[in-house]
Amino acid sequence: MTGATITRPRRSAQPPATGRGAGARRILTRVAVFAVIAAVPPLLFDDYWVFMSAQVLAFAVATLGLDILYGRTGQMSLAHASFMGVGAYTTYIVSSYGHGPAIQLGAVVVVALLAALVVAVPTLRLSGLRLALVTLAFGELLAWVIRETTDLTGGTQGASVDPIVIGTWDSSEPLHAYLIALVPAAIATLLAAHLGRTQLGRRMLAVRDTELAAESVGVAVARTKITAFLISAVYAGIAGWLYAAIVGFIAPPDFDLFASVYLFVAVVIGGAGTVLGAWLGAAYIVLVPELFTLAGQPNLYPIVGGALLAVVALLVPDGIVGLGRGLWRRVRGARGGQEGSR
Amino acid sequence: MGDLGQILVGGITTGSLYALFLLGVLIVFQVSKSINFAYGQVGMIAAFSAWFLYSEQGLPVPLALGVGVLLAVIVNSAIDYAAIRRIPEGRPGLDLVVTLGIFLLITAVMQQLIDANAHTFVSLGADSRAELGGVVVSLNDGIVVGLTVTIIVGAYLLLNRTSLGTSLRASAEDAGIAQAAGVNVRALRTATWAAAGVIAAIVAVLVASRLSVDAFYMTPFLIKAFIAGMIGGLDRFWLPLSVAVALGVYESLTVFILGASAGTPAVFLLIIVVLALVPKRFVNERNEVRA
Repeated sequence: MTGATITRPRRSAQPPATGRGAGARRILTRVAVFAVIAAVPPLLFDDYWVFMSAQVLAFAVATLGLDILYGRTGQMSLAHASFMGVGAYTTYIVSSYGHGPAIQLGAVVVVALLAALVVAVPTLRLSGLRLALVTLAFGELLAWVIRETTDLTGGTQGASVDPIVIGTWDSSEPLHAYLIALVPAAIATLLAAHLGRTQLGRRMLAVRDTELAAESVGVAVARTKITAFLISAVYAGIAGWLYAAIVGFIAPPDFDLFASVYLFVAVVIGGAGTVLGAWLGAAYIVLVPELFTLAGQPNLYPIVGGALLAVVALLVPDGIVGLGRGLWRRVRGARGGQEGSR
Repeated sequence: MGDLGQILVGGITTGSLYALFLLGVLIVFQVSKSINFAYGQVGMIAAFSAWFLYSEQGLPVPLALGVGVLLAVIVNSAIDYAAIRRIPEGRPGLDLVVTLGIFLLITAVMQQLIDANAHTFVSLGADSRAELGGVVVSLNDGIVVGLTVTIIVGAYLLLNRTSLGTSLRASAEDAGIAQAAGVNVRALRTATWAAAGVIAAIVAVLVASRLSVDAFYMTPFLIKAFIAGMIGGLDRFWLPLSVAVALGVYESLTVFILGASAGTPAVFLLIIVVLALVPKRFVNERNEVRA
């Protein structure tokens, strides 16, 4: 009962549910909105944009994972893309032995967990700053492993990954890839949304907002941080599994420090600490570079990304979601004011 | 024995560079309680633009290097002025996020302005070698170790033996009280960031003269220096700097014993083992400001 005694000081001001019916209705509305949006790409887009949308799904799993770690627990990982790489390369190796998606997924989860344990357990009993630095070194280590094991991983040249085949579905078909990725993305979203209501989720917020107070009411700070890190690593691993299957080709630059920074940019711009923000971030990370390429200015993407990260983190701490909420509140406030004057 | 001596020379020189770089990180952390993730890129600006100015624009090398150092000072001070000072109270860890954005921005801008390739830098004595007791030492090694020792000892004396140093330490301890006692905290802070810019530039130029220069070459270097700081503690002075030198020697030794590719995993293993085994009291900063 430790987490329940702590109030959530910032941006988590959920209006108290007015009854079970209202809560259920809200959840139903959200599921319906999710379903409608998810139906748009297969119905309206051509193959190429369905392929891009499938990538958004894969990256959404990654940003949801990073959001659990950074947005909710306040810990910074600079190796989130590296954990995607762990997932992607595990997929590649397992599938090259002819194993199907179930075994691939199992292996991805196990390897991601093991890698995360090695990084998190010695590090997270100390401060969050150290996690950031050790994850930085972990990214270097992964790049080194790939470089040194060319026979197994394809080395710096990259490797072609076999598509996921489930029955008649084949993830090298954009539509099939989209539908295959939709299931894990939806489950990941549900779990991340539900996490906020659990004791673990509240403990994470407590650790993020004030570690000392959390500790004083009996929250096991180190264990909470390590749990968050493990969850985020598994999310990243699964995202890497999906990414490898959808794109069909993986190479070290997909998972280097810059890729990790882009994931960070995505979460901060979308709005750290919210499921919606993670989704907006995933859309950003896939679609914005594409838009820059279409506009003939692919080099602008990293410049804009860096500037946005610095500016948004400083001036708009709650990202697009926060801006939207502020706007919504103002509109409602204005309307309320008018009603009051009548 | 000659081989081992050679390894030690190589390790101590690399370690000195880590230590000098870390000195810049330490003074900034102690005065403004923040970590500048873009610090390596500040140095990169100095070296890369110096290369561009002398090699592509035909400027004399000393002038190009001078302009490079000046740019690093301006950029580092600008990072403090435009970003770090504007971080609201009670947002621990935001310094790292914001400077991560600046890191990306600087890398992309320099790549856009110059290019993404690696270039040979002026050797600064790396090719004039002498043999001392069976060990080959280059003039560059001598410059590196000499500059490192001079700057670090100079910084120590400045901090501990002068009234300016007392003011600095006072504002690092408690900016409010120091301000009230008449210390110009803002000016000191700006001066510290500017000095750190000079240090980053010197290290980056020296590293470039030993390897090559491009938009990314300082990142592995930054990681190693941060690791040393993390093990030794960012609020101390001699311990983290010694760890930095030791890290250089350790890296050279593992490369010598296990082969050229063993450096990266050996460093990773070292931090994991050190963080797992060393008592928490020892590795935690005493005045940890972040959550």
